[in-house]
Amino acid sequence: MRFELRDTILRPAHGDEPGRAIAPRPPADPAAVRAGAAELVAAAVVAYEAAAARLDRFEAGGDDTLYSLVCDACVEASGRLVRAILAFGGRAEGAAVYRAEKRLHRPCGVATRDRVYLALPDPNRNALAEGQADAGGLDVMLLFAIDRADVADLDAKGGAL
Amino acid sequence: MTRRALLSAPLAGALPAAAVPPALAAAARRLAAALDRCAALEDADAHPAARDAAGAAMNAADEALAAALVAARLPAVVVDGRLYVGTVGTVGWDREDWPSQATVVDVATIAGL
Repeated sequence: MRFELRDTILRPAHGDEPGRAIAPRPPADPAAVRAGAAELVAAAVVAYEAAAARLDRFEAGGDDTLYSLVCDACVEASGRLVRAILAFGGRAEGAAVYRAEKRLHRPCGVATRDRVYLALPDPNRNALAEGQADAGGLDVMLLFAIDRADVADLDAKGGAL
Repeated sequence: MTRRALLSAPLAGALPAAAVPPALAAAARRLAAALDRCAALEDADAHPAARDAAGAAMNAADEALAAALVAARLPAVVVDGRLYVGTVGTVGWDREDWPSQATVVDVATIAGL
């Protein structure tokens, strides 16, 4: 079998011919980017909730190997959701930080009609960059999911929460 | 594992705003003040000793609020535009234990889907 170097050339996905300068991509429509990001986060939320529900079902007992797989799937789904939140969730300047002496990453989150999903920094793994996972596959930002019904809103303005 | 699983057992359900202990709201506001002071010192690149002192005060306020949340069996509360979430410490097979603490998120930074 003979390999030719040209076979290894990766063609740009948008159809430019090899050897020609790649045309700059047109500027993205911010509204379209935001809508696409929201769609991705929503899909990650659905996947996480399915994985968490499966974990609840298998937590009661059963096969250890299967339970281990279910746990892994839930950790993976929560990691994906955290990364989606980090990409999509807004974090204004001046947003609250805590344990400043450790310079923790800033928390952020997204909210659906019924639930709030927060990506919170893990103080014990703050040396990692956002989006990185440790050797055990756990993200430096942990997922915290809470029902809106569990939040006591003293402001009661009917705002984001 | 997510913190959801850790919290769901000991804490459940919101209290009506009127039933939230005033001391809890006061603890939240003390933490907010401590956070803002830390942020201001960081921004001003203040002397490390001043930042350490402010950080220690913030940690104390943080743990006091966490204790108040746990005592009220309240997972989370919104006060003055900030969401305070009580989280139990991360306890792992290869990590040190971490005490319960309150994590703060500005409500305005939570994106709606």
